[in-house]
Amino acid sequence: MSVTSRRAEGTPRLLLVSAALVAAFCVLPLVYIALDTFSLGWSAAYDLIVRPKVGQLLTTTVALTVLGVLTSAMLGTALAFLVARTTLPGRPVWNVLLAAPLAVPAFVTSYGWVSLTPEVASFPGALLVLTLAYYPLVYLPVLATLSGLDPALEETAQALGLSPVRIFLRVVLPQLRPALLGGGLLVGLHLLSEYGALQLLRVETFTVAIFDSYQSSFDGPSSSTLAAVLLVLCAVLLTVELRARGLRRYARVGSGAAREQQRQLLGRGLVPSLLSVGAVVVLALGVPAYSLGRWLVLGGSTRFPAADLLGTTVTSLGLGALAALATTLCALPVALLSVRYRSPLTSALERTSYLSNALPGIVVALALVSVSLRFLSPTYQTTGLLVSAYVLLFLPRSVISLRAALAQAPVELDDVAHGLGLGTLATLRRVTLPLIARGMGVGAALVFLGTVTELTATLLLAPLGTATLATEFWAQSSQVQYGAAAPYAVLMVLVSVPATLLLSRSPSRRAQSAALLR
Amino acid sequence: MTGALALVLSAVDKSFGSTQVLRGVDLEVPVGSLTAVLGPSGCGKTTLLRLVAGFADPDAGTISIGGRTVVSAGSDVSPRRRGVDSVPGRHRGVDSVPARRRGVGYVPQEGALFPHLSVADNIMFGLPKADRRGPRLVTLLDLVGLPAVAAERYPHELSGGQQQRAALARALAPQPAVVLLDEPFSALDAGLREETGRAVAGVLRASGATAVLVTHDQGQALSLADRVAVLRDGVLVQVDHPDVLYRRPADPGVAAFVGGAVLLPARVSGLVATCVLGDVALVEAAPEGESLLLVRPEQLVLGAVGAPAQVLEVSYFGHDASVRLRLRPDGPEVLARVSGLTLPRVGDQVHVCVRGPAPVFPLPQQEVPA
Repeated sequence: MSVTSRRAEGTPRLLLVSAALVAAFCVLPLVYIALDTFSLGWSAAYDLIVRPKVGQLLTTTVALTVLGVLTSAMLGTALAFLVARTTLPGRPVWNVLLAAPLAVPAFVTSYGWVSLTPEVASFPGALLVLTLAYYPLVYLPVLATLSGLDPALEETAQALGLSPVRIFLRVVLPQLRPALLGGGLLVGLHLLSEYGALQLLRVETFTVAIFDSYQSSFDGPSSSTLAAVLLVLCAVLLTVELRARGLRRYARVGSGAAREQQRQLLGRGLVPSLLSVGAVVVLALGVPAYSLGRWLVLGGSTRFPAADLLGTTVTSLGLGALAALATTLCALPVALLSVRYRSPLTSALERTSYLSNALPGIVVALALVSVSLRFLSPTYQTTGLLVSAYVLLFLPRSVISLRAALAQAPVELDDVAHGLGLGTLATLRRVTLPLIARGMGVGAALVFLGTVTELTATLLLAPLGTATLATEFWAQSSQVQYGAAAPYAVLMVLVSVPATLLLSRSPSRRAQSAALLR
Repeated sequence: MTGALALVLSAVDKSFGSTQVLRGVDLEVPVGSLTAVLGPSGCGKTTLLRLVAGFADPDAGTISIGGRTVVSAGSDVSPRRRGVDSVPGRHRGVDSVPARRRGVGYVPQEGALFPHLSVADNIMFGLPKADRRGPRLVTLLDLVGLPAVAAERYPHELSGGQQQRAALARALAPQPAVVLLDEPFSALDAGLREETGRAVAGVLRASGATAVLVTHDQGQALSLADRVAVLRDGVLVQVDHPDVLYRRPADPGVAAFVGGAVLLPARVSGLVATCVLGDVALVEAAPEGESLLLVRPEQLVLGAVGAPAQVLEVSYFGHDASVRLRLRPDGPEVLARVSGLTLPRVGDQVHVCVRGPAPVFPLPQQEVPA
């Protein structure tokens, strides 16, 4: 069967319908926010938006996002440079340790700091803690780019008389632009949608305010107008990144054998460099680890309710597995269509599924609560609704992984299998699935990781009596029961370890995973 | 030696770990010349270039560019700590001018144009800010034969050959004392390789630049360079004009590396060597007695006179053909290069004689006839 005949056959209707349903589901939160804001009427919405409280929130949110992106970008780039381009001793170890904060949810890092010293509950404190939690989102892609740059570029600049500083500014930095912008965008989106960490650190951004106003008063219109402003901020961030990235290509010209890059001797900078890298690891990993350990061992409120711990672990694992399965199933038609049946329509469906990458969990949760209450009240407070929130939030992780895997399984291989006498199902089982199994696994692991550490949407949507590791940790730590919270955090990290290991095999995969983790 | 020297290497040694890559390399490059460093891959030729450029330092020896010593390594050099310019393989006891102050132009494999800059910005990259907007760009584009419209394009929009030309223009812009080219044409396909090679050599001559070209392609080295330096296992075995290199190679190894070689035992007497193909004139006087005669395949003439031979194999290339022959009876096999116009057929009985003079080498000492 040739490519043309396949095209002539048309796109399979079943695939198209399922992908369209998935895409429609992805647009749901946006539609809900828009409808809710419009239904208020112009003047009511205006009154809700233009008030001192909103101005205050806007200032805090924008300041935290802008400063947080800048500090994460600088810290991430500096660390990546030290690891990729200098003779820093122990680079492989530092490399793992510096990427590790990605595996610790930001609200656990914040807990580690707040339970150690309440002083940190302030704007500068929040900036510090969130930078420590999110700099790996910049560090990983920048590291990957730095290690992949053609050394001939820098050598040529050297021969043309440029000093090392000018080479960095005129040759290296421009090449880092896509990595910096992509990483910065992720940090920004994280900061805009962060709830747990900022609540603990007593910094009120839009997400915190939306959550609190919903929790305290179930005030739908007020929360949804705030959510509308939050969405506008997300859109601004996306636009800025898109504009800054431009259409320029940064691909390497030619494809010759890349040589090992020159590393710069640190010389007198050795001790300061080691101290700074060590300090970052201590602050980002050591402090949370120390706090957890301390509360586990010493804390007055520490107890080990074995049954509760086991129950929440099982719930978290089950929800993670369910979410991974459901998300993969939803992602399959979208990815299949966009790779195998490329057309403007299928591309649009694929793009729509990425939309939720920019949607804060709070917005998704509000939308689902409202829709289920109004139109599908039996679904309110069910596991199904919670899992669909996970699907919405983590669909892009699965689609991107599946897409990459499907690209490795070209349709010509199916044709060969058909030519050898295999039917459609046999081809799927013996050719396509084995080829994309790995990509499916990576996508499922990413969804699982996201689900286990998800807090905001879970708090709003979990059925009564359903407690996950994240929500139980939160329930304890927000009541200053730091000791009681500690075992849940430890279990959450332990449960995440296998999936994280699966993702951190190769540098390229690490960079990819970093781009996918939101 | 006529004229000034642009580049001098003396007694340069370089090792990576326990592997010695260069051994006692001496090389003098006259101003305005195009010197090719020729060698099989792994012979150390790229390392040689990188030592000159300053991307790595020698373990011993000195290198000077335009009369200025840029690196000198060995026991008598005062140790000096180096800062951020340091690169792997740099040692204490090496006094080295950093690459950025050496004033060399460098054209790496595939050009390595900066992908984020337009062709114009690439070419003017190494000039001070004030000089970047000026008539020099037009001159350079013109010199390397790039159309003016190419200036605003980005590297990925150029063909491979155009990228090489832009990379050359970028290297020439600051008017370096020496331009170093590292296998610059190996990424291009065969047709483009020859054309671009000729164009680049032409540009280098027109701009009066001194250039060192590293290559493993003997055809390229012989056709483009004024002088060819043959590097084998880290040792420079011969530096000569291409014509001399081909007709009077230093040893049988060089002979075989720069072209087809038929080596035959011969007895030298006076200016004549007698071998299985008859008497052959010598290119220069040689010691009397048993020797090894080097005949190039194109010197063998198939015809009615000479030693009898049988055709074993004919490889036809269009413009010419190579014919493998066995000299009768039970003589050695030889390879002849003949015009494609009149071809013998496999199995034919022919006669072979030698046209033109040939060099001889002393017999290898260790070879004892059984």
